[in-house]
Amino acid sequence: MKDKERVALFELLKLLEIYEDIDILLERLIYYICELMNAQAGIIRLIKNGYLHIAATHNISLDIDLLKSDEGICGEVIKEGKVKRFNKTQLEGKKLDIPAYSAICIPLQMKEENIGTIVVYNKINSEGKIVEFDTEDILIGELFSAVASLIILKSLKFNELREREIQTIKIMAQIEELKSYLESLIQSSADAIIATDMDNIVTAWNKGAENIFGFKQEEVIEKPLPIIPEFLREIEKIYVEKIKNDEILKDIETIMLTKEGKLIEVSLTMSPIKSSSGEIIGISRIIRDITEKKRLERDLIRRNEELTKILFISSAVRSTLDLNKLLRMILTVITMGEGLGFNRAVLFLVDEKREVLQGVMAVGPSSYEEAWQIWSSMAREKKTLFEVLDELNKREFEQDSFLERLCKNISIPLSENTPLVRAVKERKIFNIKDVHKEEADPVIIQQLGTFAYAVIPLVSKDRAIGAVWVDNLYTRKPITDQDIKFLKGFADQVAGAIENAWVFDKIEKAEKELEMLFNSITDLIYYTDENYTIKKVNKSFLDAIGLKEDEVIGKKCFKLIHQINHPSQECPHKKALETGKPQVGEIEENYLDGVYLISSSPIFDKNNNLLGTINVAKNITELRNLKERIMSMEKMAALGEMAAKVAHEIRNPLLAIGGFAKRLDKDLKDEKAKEYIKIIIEEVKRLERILNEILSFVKPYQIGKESFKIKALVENVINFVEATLKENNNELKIIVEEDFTVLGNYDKLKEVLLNLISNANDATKDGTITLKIQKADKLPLEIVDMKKDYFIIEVEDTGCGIQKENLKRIFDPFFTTKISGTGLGLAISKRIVEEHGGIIKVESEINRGTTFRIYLPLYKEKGGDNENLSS
Amino acid sequence: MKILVVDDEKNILMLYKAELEEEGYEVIIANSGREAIELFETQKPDIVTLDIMMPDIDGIQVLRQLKQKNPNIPVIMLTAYDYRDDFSIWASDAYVVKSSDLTPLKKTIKEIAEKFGIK
Repeated sequence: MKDKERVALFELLKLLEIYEDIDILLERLIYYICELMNAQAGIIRLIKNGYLHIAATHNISLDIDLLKSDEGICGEVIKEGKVKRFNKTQLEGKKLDIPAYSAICIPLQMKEENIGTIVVYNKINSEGKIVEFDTEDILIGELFSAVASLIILKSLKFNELREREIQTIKIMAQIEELKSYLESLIQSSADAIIATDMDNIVTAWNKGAENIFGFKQEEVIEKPLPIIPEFLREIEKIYVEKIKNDEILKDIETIMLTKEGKLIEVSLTMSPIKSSSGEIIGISRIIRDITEKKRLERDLIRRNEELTKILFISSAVRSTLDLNKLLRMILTVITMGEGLGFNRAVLFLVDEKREVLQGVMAVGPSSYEEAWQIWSSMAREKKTLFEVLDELNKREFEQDSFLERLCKNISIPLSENTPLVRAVKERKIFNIKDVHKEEADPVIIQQLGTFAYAVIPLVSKDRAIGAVWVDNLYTRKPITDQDIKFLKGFADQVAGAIENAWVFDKIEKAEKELEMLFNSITDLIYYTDENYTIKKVNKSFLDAIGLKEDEVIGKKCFKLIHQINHPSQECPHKKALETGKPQVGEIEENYLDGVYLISSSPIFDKNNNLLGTINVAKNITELRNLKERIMSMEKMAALGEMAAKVAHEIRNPLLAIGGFAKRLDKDLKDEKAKEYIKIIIEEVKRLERILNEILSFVKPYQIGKESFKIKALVENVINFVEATLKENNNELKIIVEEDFTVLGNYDKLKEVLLNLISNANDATKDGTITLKIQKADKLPLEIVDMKKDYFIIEVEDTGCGIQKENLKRIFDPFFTTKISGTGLGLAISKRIVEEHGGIIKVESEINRGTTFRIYLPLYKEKGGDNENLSS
Repeated sequence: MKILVVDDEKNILMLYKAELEEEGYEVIIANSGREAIELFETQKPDIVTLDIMMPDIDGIQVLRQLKQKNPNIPVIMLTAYDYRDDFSIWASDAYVVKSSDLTPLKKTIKEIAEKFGIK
């Protein structure tokens, strides 16, 4: 062996030290082999799964070269199991790693097992030329084969061992990971995972259980399971029995109790825990809080049912106008599980008189025990809301629940500002989640022992009529916005109904009052339809006619009252029906023994159809008698006036007779004649006395009236005044637009005209006085009898006018601004005009003139009823 | 003292004239309203007695005209019946109901004369 070869071999053996890294080992290995054999390049391939994989190379760069283990020169060598050399010719056409002229291929074998090959290419001699491998090289190769195989195998085995160790560590870590994952899964699970023994003594309690039920692990471990509500204990026993029979109970929906005493809805899965020997030694429970899920579910159902429910409620509500019943139904809807599902509901209504918010009605259990009872019985009976409401509607209520008694004692002044009152006053919803942390009603907390509650105002037609108070005392279920929303919708619905029932209540009272009023009216009132059929009468009517109500209603009024077969032509009732307008008239009714003033007013419906009439008959017999008496007195007065006239005509002759008799008495000496004269004197005195007596109670003076044309009067007046007017150089204009007939005293009216013209003349110099007769289109307000037609006599001057302060006094008696006046002219004129049923008006402006207007009624001649002048 | 007596009945005028002249007055008589106004102008009486009911111009109108001519002339109204509610006679100075007993009239004339200071 040469030195170089010895070194290489030595190096090769040293490789055994670095077996840890197989890659470096193989690379060194191939390097030293090439070195030892003076070869240009080399490659190690290892067999894996029937293929030759490149493991290391020297001076060869190949990416991936997979060879089948029976392929090429390597395949040949593996097959033969010994080192083989190839010359240029032998290499011709073979699949080679590099272009080669010579090569030696060494199989790597271990205990008959092929593990790979080493191929060395192109031997280079001392001159640097590529030569063929010789037999010595085969020997070295054979040596290498054994050594390298040993090295490689050892290294591979070591590697395998190491990998296996790493794998074990990895698996251990994975197991560890899985374990902690499981543990954290159990711990961090939102679901409660609880293990108990067969007697329900808790053996495991996870975080989820703590969260859901509020009990800490240390509080429950080795203690009886505290989460089963009292009312479900029996059912629980059944479950445990099933577990004992190796059953698994999946997804049972049930109720459990928290540490706070709150009932929650849960989904429960129970399964047996078995010992390694298969014996059932305990129970595992996986419990999921489904309150939220249930809520969502209910929300869904709610949304679906909302419409139906509201429809139903309004129909149920419409079916009763009994306020009490209605309110009870409403509260039931609020508290029923199938309804809004609140634990308790109290209704407050505004008492306007006392100015308080008064507790009126309450529905709900008054204790936990009662709550369980109600709920479990409800669950048993499985009544629907509809059935319950229907039942409520039919039943009379007994109101002696404890809660109701409590709530009826609550009345809060409207002047306060607690949430309950504010809900009403501000029409605002309050959801008080914690009465200790938020502003709340002290009375409510004290009386109802609530922890959290909500108040919803009842608003009907813009008027807050009260509030609904709700809470969940027993389940401690928080009141959600969804709850509030639906309750609000419900409250809005029923507020109207409450208002209706309320109004109905009021109407009922008002109706009774009206009825009382109707019956206490002393006038006869009856209501008929358009066919004279009596529909309703008051008590006075029945009293007057002497019949009972059922003997009257439905009868024809004319038959009943007048005992005739057709409506009377004169009856205002008939006229009212015919004209559709109210009619008033007097009727002398023999059957009712008296005179009646009947006012008949038609009644119309909205579409203006005549429905009938309301008739009011007033007994005016008394009034009529009074009127007649007045009339007879007037007759008497007229008679008296005649007497006065006669008396006057007698008085003058009597005066002459008596006066001269007295004179004769003085002159006469003869006793007998004197005696006769005395008799005459005395008799005259007696007659005069009688006359005085008669005259003292008759109206002594009335102006006589006749009808005459006003134009004639005017013409007469002109003659009188012409001369006077000339004195002041005044022009008189006469304008008669139309001639009118007037009923009056010619002389008196003449005096009035003369007076006015004379006044005008006095006030005017070198001016115009206008006398105008015209029809009165507009009448002054003072005119009493507006039904008559009037004309105007106008006297206008262009004179000095009247001072304003004097203007209102000019008609006063004795008022005068003239030096020579009596002050009576205008006062008398006014009186005369008024006696003619007219009025006199004046307008004046200083230095412009004055206008007097006399308004007199027109006389419509019937002919022949002129009165004579009285003087 | 000159008294103008106005009445439409001649008999009454005759009686009044006789009675009042006996009392010592100078008496002028007028048988109508018109005549009364004429005589009032021409004779200038101190006192006038006026019957109210007269056919041509009644006493109230005469009164008015007399007062307009001389607001200071005393006028005594004579009437066959009560006129006291007719305020137009308020303008007169006295009011006497006609009677066969002339004492009230005479008494009134005396009072008026005294009041007006007529002799």
